[in-house]
Amino acid sequence: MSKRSVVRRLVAGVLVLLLLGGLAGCAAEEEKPAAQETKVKAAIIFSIVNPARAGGWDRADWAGIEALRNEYGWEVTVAEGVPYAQTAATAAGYAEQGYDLVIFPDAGQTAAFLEVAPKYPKTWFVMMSMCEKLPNSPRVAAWSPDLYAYGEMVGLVAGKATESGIIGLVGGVPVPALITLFSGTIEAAKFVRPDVEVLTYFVGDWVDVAKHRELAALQIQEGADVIFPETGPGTLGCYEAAQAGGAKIVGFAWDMYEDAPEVMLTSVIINKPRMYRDLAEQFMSGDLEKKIVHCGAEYFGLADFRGSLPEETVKEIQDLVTKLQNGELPIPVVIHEEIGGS
Amino acid sequence: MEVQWWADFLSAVLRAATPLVFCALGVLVCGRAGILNIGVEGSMLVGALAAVLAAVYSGDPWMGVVGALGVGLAAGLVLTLLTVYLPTDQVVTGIAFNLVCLGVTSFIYKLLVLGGVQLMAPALRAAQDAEGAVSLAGLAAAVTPLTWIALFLVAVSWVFLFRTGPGLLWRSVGESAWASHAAGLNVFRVRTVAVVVGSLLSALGGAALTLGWVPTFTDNMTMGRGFIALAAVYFGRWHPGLALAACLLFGAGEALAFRAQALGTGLNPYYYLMLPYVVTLMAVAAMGRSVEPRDTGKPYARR
Amino acid sequence: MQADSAVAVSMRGICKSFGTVQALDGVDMDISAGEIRALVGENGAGKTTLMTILYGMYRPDAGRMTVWGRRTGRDWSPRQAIKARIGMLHQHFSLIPNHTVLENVLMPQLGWTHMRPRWHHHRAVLEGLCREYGFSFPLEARVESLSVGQQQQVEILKLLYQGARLLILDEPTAVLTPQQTERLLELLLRLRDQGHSVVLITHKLNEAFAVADSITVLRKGRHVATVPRKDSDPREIAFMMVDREWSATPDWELEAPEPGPLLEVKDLVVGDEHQRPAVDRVSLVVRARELVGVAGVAGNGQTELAEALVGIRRTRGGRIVIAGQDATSWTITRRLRAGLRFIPEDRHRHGMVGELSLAENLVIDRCDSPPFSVRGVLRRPVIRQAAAEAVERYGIQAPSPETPMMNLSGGNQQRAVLARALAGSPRVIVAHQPTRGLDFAATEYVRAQLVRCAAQGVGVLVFSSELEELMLLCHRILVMYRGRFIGELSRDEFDAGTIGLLMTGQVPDGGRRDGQGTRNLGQPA
Repeated sequence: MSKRSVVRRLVAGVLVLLLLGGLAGCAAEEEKPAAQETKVKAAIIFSIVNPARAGGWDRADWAGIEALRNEYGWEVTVAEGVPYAQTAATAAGYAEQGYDLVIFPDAGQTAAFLEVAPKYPKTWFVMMSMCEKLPNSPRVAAWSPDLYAYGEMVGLVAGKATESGIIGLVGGVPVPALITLFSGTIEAAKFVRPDVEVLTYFVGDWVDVAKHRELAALQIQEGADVIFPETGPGTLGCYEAAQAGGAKIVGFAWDMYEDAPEVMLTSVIINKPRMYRDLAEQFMSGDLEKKIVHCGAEYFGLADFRGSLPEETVKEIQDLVTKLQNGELPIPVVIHEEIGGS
Repeated sequence: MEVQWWADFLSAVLRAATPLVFCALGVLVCGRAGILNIGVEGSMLVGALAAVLAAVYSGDPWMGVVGALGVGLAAGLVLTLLTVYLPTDQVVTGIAFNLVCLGVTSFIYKLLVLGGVQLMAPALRAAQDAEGAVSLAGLAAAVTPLTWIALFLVAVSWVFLFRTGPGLLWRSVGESAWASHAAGLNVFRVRTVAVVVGSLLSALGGAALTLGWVPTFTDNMTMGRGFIALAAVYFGRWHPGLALAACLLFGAGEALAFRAQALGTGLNPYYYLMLPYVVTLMAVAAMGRSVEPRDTGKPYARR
Repeated sequence: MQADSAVAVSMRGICKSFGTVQALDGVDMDISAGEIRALVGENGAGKTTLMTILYGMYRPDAGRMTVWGRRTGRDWSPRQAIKARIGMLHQHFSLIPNHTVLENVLMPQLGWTHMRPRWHHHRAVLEGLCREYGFSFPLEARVESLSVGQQQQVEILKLLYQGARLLILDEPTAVLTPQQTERLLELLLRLRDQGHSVVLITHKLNEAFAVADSITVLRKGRHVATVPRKDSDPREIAFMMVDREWSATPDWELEAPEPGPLLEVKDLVVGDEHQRPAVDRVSLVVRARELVGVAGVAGNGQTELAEALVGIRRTRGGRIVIAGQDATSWTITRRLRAGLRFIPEDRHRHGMVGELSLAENLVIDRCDSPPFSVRGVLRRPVIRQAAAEAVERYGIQAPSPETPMMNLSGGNQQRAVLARALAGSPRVIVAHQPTRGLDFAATEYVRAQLVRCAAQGVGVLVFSSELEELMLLCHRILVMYRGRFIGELSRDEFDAGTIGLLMTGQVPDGGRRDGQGTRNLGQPA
């Protein structure tokens, strides 16, 4: 009508565009490699964005993808930031497009795994995370890490490294997988140092850095000098607290040294590249079959200590780890349901 | 030991409450002039990112505070245009603004991370840690300067709003924009200043969250703290002192929740983690109905 | 008494439109210093708009203004108007209810540099002013705790304190009792004698003729005439206002009521928003063919009583009996079915849904049952048919039955509300301020319809703040004060002075009264 209302509409329109642009910034993105006919085509679906720089678990997967690409010449398409609710549809899309394999790196995608695999029996669907039951389809497999064994390895490191005899475990949310892992840590820490005290606190979410910092700082106040955080992006807060309070961190799943060089004791690595190589070898030789591979201690290892502990302690820890991998350590299996509360 | 526990606890309460206090003031001064500052969460988020970036690149945490203020000013001007001059619905605009801020900060954060930037900023540190905070002076030294700035601003805003002439004009605009206009006030100018000040304070809240607490940034790092501040203002009956009390109460609930886990009662941690919210909810219920300034949230247009 | 010839304000060719409505169309007006000017006209004539432009709150689309000899600029605003010593008392007060009297009065004077206002100094001066003009309210009281009359005094105090020489008062007597009105008019004369100019916007010609030096008439956004009071008479002015011969107020032929009660209320108690009793053990009876009026200053429990009767508001005690059946716990719908109808006070908020069409509004209370809907599905043709009949019968002027209700004029909206209330077979009508904000024609129409209904055997309970209206319409008038009936007058006892006194809580000598006896008031003698 008037000049003024035209201006209003224009401004409103520009703002809507800005808003859409802003939202697009955090929407899902895809990487598309150049198409080559003869290559094996695999797709992997991440629920988070930017796996190469995310937490240890996803970085380990990223290293596995790099191995597939560089060592086996596979063509790997990566979908990032796919919400769990849309995972099945995304996976189906890849199957339709004729991909040879679709890989799920996240146990949160189990429902999608079970749902989509039976619909595409010609495509391989592989779970690279905890898995108890395979979908009803001929071409499905899983490499499932034994979290109790992983926890034991953390316990060996922390139990040997602590001077105060107090270890802090920071969890995001008390899910069963985390209870299993922490139980392994508690038992192994007790095995190497019977008088050890393990503080197990949960933040209540995976992301709030400030809360993570408060919780880790509280553990440090209570005497913990080694902290193992197994949570989400909030982990940064634990690093910060350790830096301020003079404690050490045991990194989760991949070598986390770069993220907090001053506080990183070592990291307990999940050798995901090995799992991905297993997959690639078996697929290319035609030996891949419907099965769950339970990945025990032999799939886990330690990152470089980079001088964070005396030489002899490092040696001791490495010996213990070797014995664990060989099954020579009689650590009892006890699930401490009580740390998750009731 | 007993004293030390209290000292730790109190410094934790102040740490958790400081960002909330800034944001609550941001909501309060804005609302007292009649604009419901739903965008507090977004302003806080961009303030947090700006503070970290400015501190990382300058190496000085105080430059981070300056950076947060600069971005807060920009955010305030955008909100002013939308809520005062167009004027659009304040709630819808505020929500849209929060979404845009979330998108923009996530996008910038991702670019930085891909670029390999380490987002560990120099922090504003307390003069000493909580070990020595067994006296009041010790406690004073055990929190960051931002906490004291926040408490000072609470006093300033109380004196300004309830003891000065401009404060009366400010509140008049919030109670009745029409009557204020009839009395010769330039409602738009007052509300512009109010929105900008509110946005600056919210951005300072973001700086307090990062520089004063965890000097790093992650996606959506404010985690709804702006909305908790909003609730604190309602609980505090639009009064700076009571809003401060509400923020402290929430901070106490959070600090207590973590400490309760340390008691090892075997209770599900979720019960403790609910604590701050339950405490706040009960306090709100106990306070009864909160009366906001009558014209808050209503757009004013001159005919 | 003589008007100073100096021109205070001169307005030329003022135009203003809101959307498609031309509110003012080239209006000229001059106001002299030291005169009282009455600005009269029907609703929507543009009186308030013209003065709001003079006060700087609206911007004119065209025209120019001179204030004390100086042209006003594009940036003319209330701030500048106040500086030019113009003050306006708005119909809906421009007070801040939450603030104290002192804060309200002082607010327009404060600047952004007054960090430490001299409260004590201002308070002393204001107390002096209050004494001078006979205002009695504590300066520390919150405005919302004052009565409407006191709030108006606060507004006037505010204008005087900011040094206004030209006072614009927009319908100031609408909220006052006759006695308060008289005091206000006296105050205006006194201000005039002190050299102030006053513009009195009103639609009550008797007030205009009581105090004004000259009278300006607006009609449909145009200036009709400005005449000295002594050269004119109410009849001539009324003719100019409505553009037709003023039909002398008809003296209704009221029919005698039937003996039995149709609506009976016994010891009714109703709480307000703060759980205080707003209606305190009130009893009344309305018989068939009877029109009963409830008079009172707004805020003495009339709204609560009316809403409790129709079931919108919960009662806390007492009984409501409709045609012999106890209806105290009935739902609104059940009361509606029993023939109880409501014409609400605030038609925009409670009487209509502005976004819905006229046709939908006409059947909105009955649309859930046949013939308007079958098994939950609306039958549009039937609704349209019913609407067309109502439009015809009640003379509702609308482009079509599908026109949104909010696009109709106030008079036509009220006709629609009336049409809905009278549809079907009403037995009791509760009419709350049925003619508020309506112009002559619509007012007369609504009143005639109420009288017609009564003649057909309906009982009518009318709440109104216009005494003339009640005295015109009703068999009996009950006067409500602080939640109780303080007096009752039958038609042969009607007297504006007596009722006005009762409205302020004073029981005149010789009247029916006494604290305990009030409970029995409201019953037919």
